[in-house]
Amino acid sequence: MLELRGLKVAYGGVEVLHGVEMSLGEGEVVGMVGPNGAGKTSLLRAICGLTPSSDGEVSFEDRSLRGLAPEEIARLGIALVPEGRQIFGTLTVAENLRLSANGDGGEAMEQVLERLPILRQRAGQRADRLSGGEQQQLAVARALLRKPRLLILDEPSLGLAPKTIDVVYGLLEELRAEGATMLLIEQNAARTIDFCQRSLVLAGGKVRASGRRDELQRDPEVLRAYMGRQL
Amino acid sequence: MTNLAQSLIDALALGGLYALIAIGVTLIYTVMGMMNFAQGEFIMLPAYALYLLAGLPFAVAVGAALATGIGIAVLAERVAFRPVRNADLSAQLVTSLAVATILQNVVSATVNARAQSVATPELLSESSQVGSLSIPNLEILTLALTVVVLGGLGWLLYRTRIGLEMRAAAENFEMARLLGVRANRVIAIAFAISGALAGAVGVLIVMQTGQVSPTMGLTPVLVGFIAVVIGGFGRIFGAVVGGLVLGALSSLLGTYLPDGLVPFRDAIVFSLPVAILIVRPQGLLGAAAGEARRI
Amino acid sequence: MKGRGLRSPASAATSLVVPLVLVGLATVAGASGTPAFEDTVTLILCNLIVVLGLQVFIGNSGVYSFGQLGFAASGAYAAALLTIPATFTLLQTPELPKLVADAQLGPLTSTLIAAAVSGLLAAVVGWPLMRTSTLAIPISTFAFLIVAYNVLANWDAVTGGSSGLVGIPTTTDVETAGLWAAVAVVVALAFKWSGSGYRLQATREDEVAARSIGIGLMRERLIAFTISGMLCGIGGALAVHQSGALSSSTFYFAASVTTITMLVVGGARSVLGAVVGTLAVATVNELLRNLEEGAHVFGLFSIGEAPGLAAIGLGLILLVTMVALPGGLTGGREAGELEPVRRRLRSLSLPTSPATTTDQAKPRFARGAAGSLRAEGISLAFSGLQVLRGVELALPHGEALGLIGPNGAGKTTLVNVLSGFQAPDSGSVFLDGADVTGSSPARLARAGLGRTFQAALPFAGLTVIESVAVGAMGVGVGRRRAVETAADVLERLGLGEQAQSPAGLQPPGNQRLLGIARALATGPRYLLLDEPAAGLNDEECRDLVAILHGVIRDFGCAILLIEHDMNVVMDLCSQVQVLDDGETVVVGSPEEVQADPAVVEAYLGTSYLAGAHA
Repeated sequence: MLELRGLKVAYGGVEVLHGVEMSLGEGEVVGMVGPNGAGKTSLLRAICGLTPSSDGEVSFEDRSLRGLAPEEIARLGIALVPEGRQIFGTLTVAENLRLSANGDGGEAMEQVLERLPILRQRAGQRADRLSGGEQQQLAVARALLRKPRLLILDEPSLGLAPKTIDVVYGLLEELRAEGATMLLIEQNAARTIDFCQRSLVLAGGKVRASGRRDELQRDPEVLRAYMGRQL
Repeated sequence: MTNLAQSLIDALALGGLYALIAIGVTLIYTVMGMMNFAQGEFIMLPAYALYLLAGLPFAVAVGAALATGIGIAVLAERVAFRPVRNADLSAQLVTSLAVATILQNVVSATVNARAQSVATPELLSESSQVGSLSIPNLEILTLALTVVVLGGLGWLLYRTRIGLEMRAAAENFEMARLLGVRANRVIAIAFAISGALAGAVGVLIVMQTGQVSPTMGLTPVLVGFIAVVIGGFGRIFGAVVGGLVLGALSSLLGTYLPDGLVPFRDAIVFSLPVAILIVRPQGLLGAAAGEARRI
Repeated sequence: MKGRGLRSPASAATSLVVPLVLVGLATVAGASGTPAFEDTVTLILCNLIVVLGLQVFIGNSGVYSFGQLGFAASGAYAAALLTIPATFTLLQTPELPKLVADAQLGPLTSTLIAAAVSGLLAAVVGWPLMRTSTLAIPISTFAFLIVAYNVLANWDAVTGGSSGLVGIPTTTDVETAGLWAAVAVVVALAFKWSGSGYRLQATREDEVAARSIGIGLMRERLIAFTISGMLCGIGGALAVHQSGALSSSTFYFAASVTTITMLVVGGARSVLGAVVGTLAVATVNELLRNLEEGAHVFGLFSIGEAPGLAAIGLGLILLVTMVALPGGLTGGREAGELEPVRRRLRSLSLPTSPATTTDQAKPRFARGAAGSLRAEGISLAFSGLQVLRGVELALPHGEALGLIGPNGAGKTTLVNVLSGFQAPDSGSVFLDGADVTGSSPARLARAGLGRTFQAALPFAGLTVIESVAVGAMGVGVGRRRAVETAADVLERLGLGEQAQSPAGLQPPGNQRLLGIARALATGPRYLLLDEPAAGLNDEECRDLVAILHGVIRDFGCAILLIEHDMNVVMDLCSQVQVLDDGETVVVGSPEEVQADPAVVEAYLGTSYLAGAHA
């Protein structure tokens, strides 16, 4: 579904991604972990069209994403739940949702609100008045309203209380059960690797290892260099 | 009594004009966080369209003036402002200063550097009798336009899809795009609206003063800026309040200032807002909550 | 390059000498050309002094002022009125005070007085203007320019009104202008590298972070505004003594645009940029004018009858610079900071042993005796939403207190109240027994309270060591001592190697550490950290805890820690306070808190109890 071939990204002459290879099939849930500055954010920005790649190829459902604007990529069915949530704080919750629903919303809106009833209660409030956990739910809801074929989540647990993280992962669990295709980027390696069928370790701008939890656990280099005690 | 009422109406009309200018400035500030120096030239160029098309029917000339305003605003956004969209406020301000300088001097070089006079249609130079008051038709038109624009903009921003997209793009451009909003187009539309508004203001100013000059936009843009500042950044309604306050002040000072001080009217008008800012640094209504750049 | 100074002596010398040489070359070229060319160069040098004046304020504060030409005007009028022969003066300005009218001073005296007049005016005007917000300053200074013009053009009795002044002695030759320009270069660089200059640059990079390290925004801006006004006054005075005539429009909008273009094209952040930009733009401008007007060459300050071509050219240059080269020709760097020069200097410099300083700079930690930071009954509501409800907090000296709770519980707001960023509706904050409720962040920082923010808020445009040293300068430590403190702190946090590289190019983890380093450099006795471990992986978290333990142990500094990573909280803190919905749920040892059912319910969640954490 999503294929990255030799993807390179550079900022002002400094290359931060040195040829990343990965592929993600329909219905797969893939995690991506790695230390600070590994290039996770750059990778995401390149997939979504926010940063041009300097070399290599990104394709989605066999269609090259080269040269497409972020909104065009979004319209192909890739939805991002960004780091820091980035909900529109000056808009109401309902407006945030309506914006994403692209037209009526109708049934999809009903489904999302059923899944996340707190948003219905808060519909008329300005989104920046929501708590962090509620904002994260709004960010996910917003992405779901796009009826995405691929859902990308960037650090969904960052800055959240332990209990709230449970709520967010509960939601992701439901989505996984329904067969959603997801790419999950997290700092919190243990949880991610547990949650995903398969994970990639990104470090120094390259994919250093990939595999299931048990496979990664057996890779001593991964264990020592990138993950610390988390595995 | 009549005199007082008369000067109050004059004050209100000038305030309305200033409010229209300030709305145009605020709209661009809101969608892109930029104080646009070239707003004065968005006013000046349509005025010149009116001057150059003086032979044509008035309605056609006005239409052409509005189209000029829209055209130049959209063009400037595409060529100059889009590349600096992510730059800081100062960089954007200086970019718009460059655009203003270019447009102003292109007109100086190609048309004429000196002021030229323009005839106004009779209907607009006449006055209507309301009770014991005689109100210039132009003032009625200005006030009516202010009300219509304020209402129309409120409807657009808060009741339509494109308004929702505009507010979203204003707050977080990248995120709006990631949700499929064609944000560049949305911002171009905001510029078009602001340009149309500037065109209307250009026409009103020509009708009022009967002349055009390449530097005619300088005072309006300063007025617009100050109105925005005293009304509170990023609030359409604040811009209206700021414009009304400034216009009324200017008009009333013109009427009631002692003769010796009349030449210093501008100095007084432009000093007082600073006094307001010292007492209320966020403007009369306060900047939009949280950070400044919001509707 | 590792070093204990803010920059190497060679780099500093290069930064000073290169602009001086450029000024010298321009002067020599002017002196050896035709009289008309000499006049042109003289005016360009006068212009340069004004542009350097702009650099002092705009470059260091990052805030544009469109009003500085008003101070060039005041300098010009002061110098003109003080030097025009008495009889001639009264003819033009009948109501001028006799003392001024009679005065017929020499060029040096009148220039110095012009500098004083403009500096004073800038201080008086700047006092209210600098109180307006960052967004409003460009506009309020623009308004000042229009007010100044309006007054000069209409106050016939004193300024000659719109007809202006003539018969001003033409005493400025190219050497005089060159000399003054050199002085202006030195002043601008000296200011940029002074404590006040660094404090102002810190506000340019991040206002909030600057306040948190004790910097008074308005004060620093006003100082630069005043110095800027003085330089502009000198430029104006010299220019008017070159042309011999003066009108109210000489120093108005067109001149503002010209000088700002020069500064921006060269690169506003550097003194070199001001010099390069002025020379480059003036050259292009003269060429265009030659095209436009045939063989004639006019000075820069005059507005031609038909500006046309030259002004369009100016606008295009400015536009292209902003779009394609936002840092200007120099990238906002001084000569010694340019990449080729740096490489050259590095290869030249021999390995030197680190400077040995006599007073082995211990930062000024642990000034006071033991005390505590206390909050009593803090309540606060935002537009009807109650965020804090009578919160009590006590942070004894030398302790680490963890502050945890769900998102939206009010933790950050409480830290904002403690650090002066937010005044509470009710309740009091005590710092070592003194009531400091409602004190400004800057004052609290100087009293020993440091903090970091959820975002790193780096001073991206400064180097790593500068961005930390400015923390010490912010609380009033001398420059030299500040640099030593910064070097020590960086060493401790393992960032010593990065000292000379730009703070903005550091990876996110380092930027977070830099935020802590900056706060430490203020010599805090109480350090408030807002989610310092967010975005760090486990290994980085452990390093951070070790560093923070060291801070407490070695400096006796107390730490208030907001953090979601329970491992970090448990490893560092002896006490933990749990906040929920603006109220304290429980305060206790980490073990007690973890076992508290209310805490599990509100914050940790049941999966935590089930042993999900290591």
